[in-house]
Amino acid sequence: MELSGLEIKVLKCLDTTEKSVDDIANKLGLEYFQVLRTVGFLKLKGLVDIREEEVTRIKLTELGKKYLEIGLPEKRLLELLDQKKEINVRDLQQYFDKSEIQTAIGVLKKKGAIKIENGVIKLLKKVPLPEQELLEKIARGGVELGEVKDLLKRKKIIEIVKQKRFFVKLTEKGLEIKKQLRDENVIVKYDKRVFNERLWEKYPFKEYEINIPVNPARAGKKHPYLRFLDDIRRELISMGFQEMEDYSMIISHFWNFEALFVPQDHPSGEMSFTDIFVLEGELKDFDEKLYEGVKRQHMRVFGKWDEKLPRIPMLISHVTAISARTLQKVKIPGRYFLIEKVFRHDTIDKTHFIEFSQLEGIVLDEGLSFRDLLGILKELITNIVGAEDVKFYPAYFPFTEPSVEAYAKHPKLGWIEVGGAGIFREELLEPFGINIPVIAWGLGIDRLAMISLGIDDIRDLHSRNLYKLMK
Amino acid sequence: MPTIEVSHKDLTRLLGKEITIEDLENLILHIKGEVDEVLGDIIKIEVKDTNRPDLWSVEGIVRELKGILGIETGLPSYHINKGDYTLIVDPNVQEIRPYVAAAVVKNIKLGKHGFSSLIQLQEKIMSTFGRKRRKVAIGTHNLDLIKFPVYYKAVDPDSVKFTPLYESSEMTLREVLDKTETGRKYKHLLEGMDKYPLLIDSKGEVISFPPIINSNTIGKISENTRNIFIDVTGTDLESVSIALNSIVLALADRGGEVYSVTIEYSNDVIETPVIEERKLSTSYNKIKRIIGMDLKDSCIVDLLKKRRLSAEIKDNEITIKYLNYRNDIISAQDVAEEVLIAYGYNKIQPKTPSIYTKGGLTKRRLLIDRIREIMVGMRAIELYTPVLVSKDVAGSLYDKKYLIELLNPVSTQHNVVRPTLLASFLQILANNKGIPLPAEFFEVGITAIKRNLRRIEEWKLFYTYLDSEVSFNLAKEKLERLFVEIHKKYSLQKTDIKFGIPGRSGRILIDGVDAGWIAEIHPAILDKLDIDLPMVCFEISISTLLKLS
Repeated sequence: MELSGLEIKVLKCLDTTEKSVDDIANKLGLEYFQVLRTVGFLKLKGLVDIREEEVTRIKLTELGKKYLEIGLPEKRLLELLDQKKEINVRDLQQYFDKSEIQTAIGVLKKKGAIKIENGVIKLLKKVPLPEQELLEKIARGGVELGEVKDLLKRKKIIEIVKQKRFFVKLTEKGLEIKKQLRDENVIVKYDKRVFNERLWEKYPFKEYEINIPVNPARAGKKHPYLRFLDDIRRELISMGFQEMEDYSMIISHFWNFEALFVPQDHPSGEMSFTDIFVLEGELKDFDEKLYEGVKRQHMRVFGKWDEKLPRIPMLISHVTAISARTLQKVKIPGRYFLIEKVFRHDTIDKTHFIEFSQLEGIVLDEGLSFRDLLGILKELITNIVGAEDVKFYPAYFPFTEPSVEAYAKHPKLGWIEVGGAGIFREELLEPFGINIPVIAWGLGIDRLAMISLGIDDIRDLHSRNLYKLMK
Repeated sequence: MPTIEVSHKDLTRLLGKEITIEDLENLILHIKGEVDEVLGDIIKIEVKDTNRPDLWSVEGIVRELKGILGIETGLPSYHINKGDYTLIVDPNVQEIRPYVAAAVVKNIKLGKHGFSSLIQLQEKIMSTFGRKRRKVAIGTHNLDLIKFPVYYKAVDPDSVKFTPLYESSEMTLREVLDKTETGRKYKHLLEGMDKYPLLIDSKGEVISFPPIINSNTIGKISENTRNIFIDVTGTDLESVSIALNSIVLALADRGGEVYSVTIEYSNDVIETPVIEERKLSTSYNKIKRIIGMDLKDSCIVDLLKKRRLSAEIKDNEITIKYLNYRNDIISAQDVAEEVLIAYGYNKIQPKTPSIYTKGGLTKRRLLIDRIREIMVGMRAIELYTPVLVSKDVAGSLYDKKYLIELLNPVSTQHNVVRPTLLASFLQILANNKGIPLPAEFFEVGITAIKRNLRRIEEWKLFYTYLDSEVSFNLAKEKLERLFVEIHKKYSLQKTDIKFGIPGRSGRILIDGVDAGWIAEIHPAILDKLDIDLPMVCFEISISTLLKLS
């Protein structure tokens, strides 16, 4: 017997006890009329019996549905009075439709909830309003006609509908066909049985509707910004750069400033730090001999040294501090780099966040000159920024001399400032016992990341919107 | 970095040469500045050299440009006339604001541009170089109204009355701090002092109340003032002198005649301003090595002249002369930079060093990357969250004694270092209602806690599974897989932890060493953050994993 896909589907969910068409439609997730039509065909084929029955149902009208949501007029009036205690009848027009006012007053008066004096309604007591609950019950279904007598008297809240319902059950023949169905016709499920019983040799596979929309599969993924940093690290490794070992988030003022030959320009007592985050207590994360050497240079050049300031613990504010630390155990020739997080005391807005990543590096070798510095910087910018052209201008950093600032011609944005570099000052290198040139450079990667990831709020480099990440 | 406004017309007049805005934009880049904006005749220039206050005025910029353009090269020349002016310093300023330097400039024609340039230079020096007037404060006054000698002393805040600049009535020093705008802005500089500094002349007229405000009579100058008395007070003599020089040079460049002032300290007598030549002799070979180009000696000398220096080369020694406003010249590298700037950075041919070095990542990074890959393979989404979190959130997870607090936070949302990545995650989750479920996240990041006096930084891996219903094993399965993949073994020790559900949390041990935790997060903790999602998590110390490998 030829059966359509739908007929098979319906047939499969029937048996010899009666089921209503509504229930079948619900269970199969199909339209009521679709199922009704299908059982009609099945009856023609003698596979099912259909019984018809007329039933009465109570339904909410459109108005009833509205009252279900906002409350019956008497309920709303009661709530209004509960707030205001009394109200002038005239004023009711701003809260109610004209047609509602009579009903609301009438019902509440009858229940003894209110009285009216000189056109002013006063609340006597709060009374229960079972009619409102009844609306909810009707909406859920299964209310007897007797229960709704009062509501029926009121205008257009509920209505009574007579409906035909159809009940279906399998005939003997239908039952027989249903039993055969599993082995007959088509293969629906592609499972081990297909192999075990060699079904594919006997039946065709049921076709799929391959254009039904589905949700994308849940996937694990790396954070886009960190993936961007991974790419840069790969690029740097290919250029012979070794990642620095000695990053710490909490370092002493010594590493962040003095070791980099930044003059101590205020006494530690003032503690007026406006661009770094400081922590309480003391931190000695440096070697005594190095400390003495750095102090000697400061005394020689700047003529001052505060013993307390270098021991202040702080959050690292530039990766150059780690470049300095790396100088303690470098190989020559050597190239080192680091991408890590630094912290700045700053206002938080679209273009500023107190945490961001920096990329810095150093190159050490005998006889490196300013021309090598420009060469290295140009190579870095070409490889990492993808710049078409690079220009250099004088710059000032306390720890390098000569110093340079690099502008890159970005394919989309034109000329942008991308980084700085310089040759470490000999006053900085001397305490480390290094007497060859050391080139230090840094590139502003957060800006590049924002360009490459199409972000215009720097705070979005961090995960703020989980939903976006999951999409 | 100071940004100054200069008039294009004024600049060309001082330079003595027409120069277009376009040319200027390019030239400014060569003196460590950048043109930010052009508004008609006004050019906004950001001066990036924070070490050179002499450059923070149109006069200073013109001084450099004249060199670069070859209009005037070598050392600029300034003459200081011996003046008959005395400033007597009372020893009682020692504890309050010990240093003062002063100068007199006569026959100046400031005009509109000169006046605004002077005011601007004063403000920029005080706010940046002068650390918002703490280190250096400058006053400019009408010389013709002053009767010398002038006294600098500390007085009782209620003993002296005067009318402050742009005010209409007299007030005591104490009142100035409360009643005037600048008073309120800078009163903290005098906090806790029982006497306040004062500059007063021989008639007993107040000149100024440093570092707060000038008087409205003597202390008021205008674009028509011809003779000016300048005072600089501060906490550091060198900074005070540098500030004074920057002002004096600018006024001299505008045609003012400079006269010295004798400063009588109780134990010393000095004359200011001091504008003098300084010398630096250094290795010529060192400079040539840094330059990396074969330039003739005469060429190098010429280039240095363009930078307003003079130079003499003898064998391997070069001797540079500079005026003391350039106190940033310390060694050979500084001289090399001067040569390179004058040569022009963009004319230099870059060279790529041909040394071979082996690139690579640290062990920690390699392990982190491996772990990230495994976690992504298990369908977790990577997070990147701020290290600084709210003390309230962190404190609900860890005992407050372990938390590392910032002494100067900018936000209550970010005032402690996270002790666990869970803190960062919860802070974000609280702001992300209605994410699709189930959701799995992970993050590798740095954390820190305080134990006794030590601060311990640790890199950690955090994993979480969220759904309308979760169970311990959803996290444990992932932990199990992770350890299989990194070829390590672990055991769990049932322990109650502060933020876990009792009986459903434990410590993760590797070779008996505590390396993290696994837990269903207690609803009471989440409820406080207005989160109503069941959640199971684990966190492992990558630092411990590395130590044990």
